[in-house]
Amino acid sequence: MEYPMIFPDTHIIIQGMTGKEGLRMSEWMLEGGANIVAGINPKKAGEIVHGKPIFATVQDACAFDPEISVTSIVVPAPFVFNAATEAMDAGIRFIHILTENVPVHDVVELKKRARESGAILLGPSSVGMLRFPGFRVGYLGGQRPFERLNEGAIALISASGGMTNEILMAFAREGIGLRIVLHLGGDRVNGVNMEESISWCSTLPDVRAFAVFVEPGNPFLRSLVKGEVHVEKPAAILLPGNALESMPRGLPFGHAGTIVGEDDVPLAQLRAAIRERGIMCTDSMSAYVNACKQL
Amino acid sequence: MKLIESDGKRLLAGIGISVPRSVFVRSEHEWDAAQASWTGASYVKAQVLRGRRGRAGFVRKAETLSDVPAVISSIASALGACSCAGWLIEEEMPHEGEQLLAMDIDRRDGRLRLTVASEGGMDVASGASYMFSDPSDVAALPLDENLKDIARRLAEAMRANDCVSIEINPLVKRGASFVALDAKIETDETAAFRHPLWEHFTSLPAFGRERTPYEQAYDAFRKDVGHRGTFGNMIELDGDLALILSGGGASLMALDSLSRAGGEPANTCEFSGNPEREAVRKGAAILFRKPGIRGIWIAGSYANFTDICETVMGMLEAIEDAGIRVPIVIRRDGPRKDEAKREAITWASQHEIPLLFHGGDVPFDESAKELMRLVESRQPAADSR
Repeated sequence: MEYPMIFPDTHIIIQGMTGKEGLRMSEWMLEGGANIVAGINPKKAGEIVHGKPIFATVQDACAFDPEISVTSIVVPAPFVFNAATEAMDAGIRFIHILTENVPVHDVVELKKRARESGAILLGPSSVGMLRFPGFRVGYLGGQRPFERLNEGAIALISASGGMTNEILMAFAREGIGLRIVLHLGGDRVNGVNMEESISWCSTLPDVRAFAVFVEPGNPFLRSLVKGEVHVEKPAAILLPGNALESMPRGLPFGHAGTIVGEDDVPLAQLRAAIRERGIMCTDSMSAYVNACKQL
Repeated sequence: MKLIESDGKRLLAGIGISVPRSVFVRSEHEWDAAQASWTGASYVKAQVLRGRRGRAGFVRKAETLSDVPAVISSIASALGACSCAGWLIEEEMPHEGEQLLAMDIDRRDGRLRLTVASEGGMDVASGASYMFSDPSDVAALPLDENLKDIARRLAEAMRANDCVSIEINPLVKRGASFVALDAKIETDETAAFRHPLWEHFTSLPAFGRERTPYEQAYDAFRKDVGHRGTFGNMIELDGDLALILSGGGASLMALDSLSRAGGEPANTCEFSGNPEREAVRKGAAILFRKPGIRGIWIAGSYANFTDICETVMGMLEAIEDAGIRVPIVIRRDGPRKDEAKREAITWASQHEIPLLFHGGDVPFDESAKELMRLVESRQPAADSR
């Protein structure tokens, strides 16, 4: 799997563009400068939405515009598997899935197919990706993000959509500059995982450091502490969840993937173990933002 | 959804894995020895969702079929607050050895993971793990042919039945074959749309206790409204501050902040997505009806697409419905936040209720402290209605 070649003018399609969420997301993306060239809905082929043609299939859209290389999927959960498979079969190699509540075995199978075809799967339950100077897919960063956010050299990688925005707001206030922002989703299994994202961004010369938001139960934490994953550039991790320690264990909280297992170590101990690896790790937003200023 | 052993064993039997003969009853009064197709000793097993049942005394032996009701009564008296769906009466199964066989999904790379331990029982610490992508890959694993057959069936069942995990512990050896003496299975609720038969599984709360009346009312609301992903699970807690949180990660941040500020939540509950105002009103009203609420915190991250005005006003209408008059702090930002702030402040002024509206520039810690300041400056809860 290689880091996707994406640019501000990369050609994007929206699968499910004619639905309520699809309409709004594509409107925001277009306002933010995204180069959406078409939408997909098998029942509305031939219509025009936001000035863009709607096709019945991804293949039809790719025949219309062979430069399409990114899709964003906003269809209901039971249809996500077929939509993503159709995109991969049509040769699209960057697939973003906004939809929530996608069955985990559908994600497992899509991940397998993505591995085999060399496609990148971002999500499900991902609000998207943003890369300066002007590429954005999904809702990430809200309306007109490039007017509010500062360009810089930090890669923000997060398991939570809302907290990604929260951190972006804080970074904007504090003048912290970003190069790339990835929201991976908080499901049990995600397409691209935290390790892969960090590994990709490590290869980018214009990324100097990492800001990470992760929740208890994410397998990345265990890998990091065990030394199975190495973060090659300076990094700060925001890891909340102390309140979970008094809740029933083994149950998901908030995100489906946020599960404190019966045998998991206390979070304070986990944070300390991460700090021993030379990575700043805290549960405090203000300490995190201050650390990111120094990165 | 975590299945009780009885449902789990039906699933195993359905994929061709041997399980002991058994009878499921809701209580000792339902038990009739004539239902058993075996004679001799049996095991009486409480159908609870907790591990180490044997050690807790929730699995006991009945020497004869006529002893079963007395054994059920004896275990029932030891259950305490632990939810129990009924009783599995199972033939005794003498065996030569025990193993553990489990399958789940490796969350990092999304492959199936098989764990095999050469000893079963309650103290299994670890076993050998094998990762693979396809059930046919099991053929290459260094395992006994009978075990391979069971592992392949489990791998196929994981996908076909949308299971998150299947654990058989112990899997016992009888001659050349194996029998599953226990079944711990969790299914993926997001796949319920393609499994109508799941309606027949016995539902049991996974909290280790019965759902409280407020939780039950909220569960019924969630079922009616049909947006399980929007209205998250609600857990009632012992504190006196009603919470409506938004965003999975932000909910964690908010709970930690409240704890640092010295507040104790009366519940946890997450409203996400972009729900309709009326649905918000109905769901929130259930949370606000709990007696003894001294303050309300509506807290969430900067929303991507939630209509902040509609959702916040739905919550304030629910407060009105519940007839509760306690301090409110709102910490929300995102689409239509400014309108939400204006309308909320007007509403609070009309109802003479102290209300603070914080935007995304106010940290969770500060917002939680403000809530505590308002709550502690008010009269006790008895005056709140």
